[in-house]
Amino acid sequence: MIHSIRWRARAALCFLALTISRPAWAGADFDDMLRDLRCARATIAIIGQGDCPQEERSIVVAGSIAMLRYTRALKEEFEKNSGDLSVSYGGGNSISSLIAVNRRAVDIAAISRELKPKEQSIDLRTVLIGRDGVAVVAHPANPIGNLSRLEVEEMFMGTQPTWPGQNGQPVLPVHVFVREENSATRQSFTELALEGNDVTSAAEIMSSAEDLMAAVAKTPGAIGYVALHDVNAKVKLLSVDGVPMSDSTILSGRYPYARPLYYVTKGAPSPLEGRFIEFAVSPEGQAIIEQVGALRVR
Amino acid sequence: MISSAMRWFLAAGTAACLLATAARAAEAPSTVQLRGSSSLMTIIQPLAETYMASHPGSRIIVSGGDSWWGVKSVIEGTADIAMTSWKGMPADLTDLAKDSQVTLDHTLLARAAVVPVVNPANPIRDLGLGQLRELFRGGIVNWHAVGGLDLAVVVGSENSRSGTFEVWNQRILGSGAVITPTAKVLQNHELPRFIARNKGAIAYAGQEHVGPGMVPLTVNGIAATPETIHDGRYPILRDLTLIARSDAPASVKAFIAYCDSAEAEAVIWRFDAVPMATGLSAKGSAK
Repeated sequence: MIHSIRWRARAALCFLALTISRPAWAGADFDDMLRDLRCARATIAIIGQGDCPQEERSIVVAGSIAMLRYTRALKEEFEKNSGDLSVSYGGGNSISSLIAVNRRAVDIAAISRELKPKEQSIDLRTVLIGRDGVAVVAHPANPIGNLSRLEVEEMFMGTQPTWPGQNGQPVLPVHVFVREENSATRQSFTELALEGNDVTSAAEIMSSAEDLMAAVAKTPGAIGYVALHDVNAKVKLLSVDGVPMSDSTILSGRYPYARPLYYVTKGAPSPLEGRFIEFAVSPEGQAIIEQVGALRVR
Repeated sequence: MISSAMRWFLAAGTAACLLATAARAAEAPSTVQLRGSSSLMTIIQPLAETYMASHPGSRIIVSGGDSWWGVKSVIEGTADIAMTSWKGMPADLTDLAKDSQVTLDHTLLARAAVVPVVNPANPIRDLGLGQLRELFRGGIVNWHAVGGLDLAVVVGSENSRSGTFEVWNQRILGSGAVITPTAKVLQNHELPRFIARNKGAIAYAGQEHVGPGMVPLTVNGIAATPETIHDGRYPILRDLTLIARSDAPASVKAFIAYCDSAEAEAVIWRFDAVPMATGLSAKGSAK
């Protein structure tokens, strides 16, 4: 009899200890509690996996080059506190990563443009983690202050070879400057401004934002593009469709080349996916987004 | 099954969690995320900017994606407010809201017109509802059939999830007809180029999107004006509505209230919509 009292007391103490550590049991029924007990890590360690689901240890994020720098910065901080959980990032672009997440080949797609209507579906979820923009830049003495979206597209694709005419002024030929193939800004500008099309073959390729802006600053007919966080005072920023680029017009989206930063999951995120995405929109994650050069959205 | 001792521990644990969550919520800056109709977005965007200017520390982030996407995002919690420009919510979304146990609040901001648009070289300036139906379903393929030039009709439309498409589809095509399969599907910013490059083009747009190079037509002899929108004589109208969860935080409701206020009406008028809060009476002072 003494033996059975000790056994009951021990069982009750274990049960109590586990209960304290699980505020989620406040509303649970007895079956839920049993299952939680059975599949707690400690129990698995003692009596084996059984029918308990495998806990996730890593997630794969695939996305555009622009999202790489943000995801890398978030992942570094996230992994410091996540134990053995890890995030790995694969490159590509917004389209390929959307296809991959739809097929569940990756866990999260990291894209930097809005979904197209035909990409929207009831089970695709997009969480906005930040916003930045791509500026259209010209020579400081260029008299033009604004271009329409159509003009920007045509100038970069070479179908409009001169700047819009100014009465009495000589015609100014367009000299296009772009970034190199695997530049995040190039990829974003192609998605946001050129509908995915290639620029004119006459475009001069620069391998950094600083080089591009230096070249634009000494070429009267130059036109180029620069990400928000890279812009310096050497170049003139143009309005597009009458809207100048600013924090306010990027958040409101009125500036046409505002670039959204999204994490996309198919269906509700799994626990680990959810934790990483929650981290991205947490105060700490948003501070990281700001440090890397975008505008916070939470 | 649970002893009173355990209940006490449970209660203490839950209380501690609640306190921690409340403290964290108080620190966060106020941000409001809107998604949805690109038509209503053009009105909301300047409102977002003036709101941010007068409420330092607030962030109003506006995205497109069309009416359907906006409401779905609000239901699942990935956005705070949906901007919609249709006449009524589609069944799949009311079902989703019910299944997710989400109640939604609707705030009707304004009523606006959807107008047919043609290339300036097209001499036609008015069409009847029946003629529009035939043009858009592909029954009429040459403009001379409606008294115009000998010129092939080129139809432009919006994607099927757009609120503007929803309105046009219901009002012009009705339940018996579908849009011609040869219609070019356009996003808002592609419309000017489409009209400019096709002399025989016909498309439709929210009145606020009619720009240079696009000629709006009257319908059944009626032009879309504040009067004809307000009294419903102009026959192709839609509601511009903001939709949010009933349990949305105060910062979300505050921005909706701002959009519904007298201060916001000047912007609504600028985009050719008729504010519902006061209707025509404030028109003179707003313009």
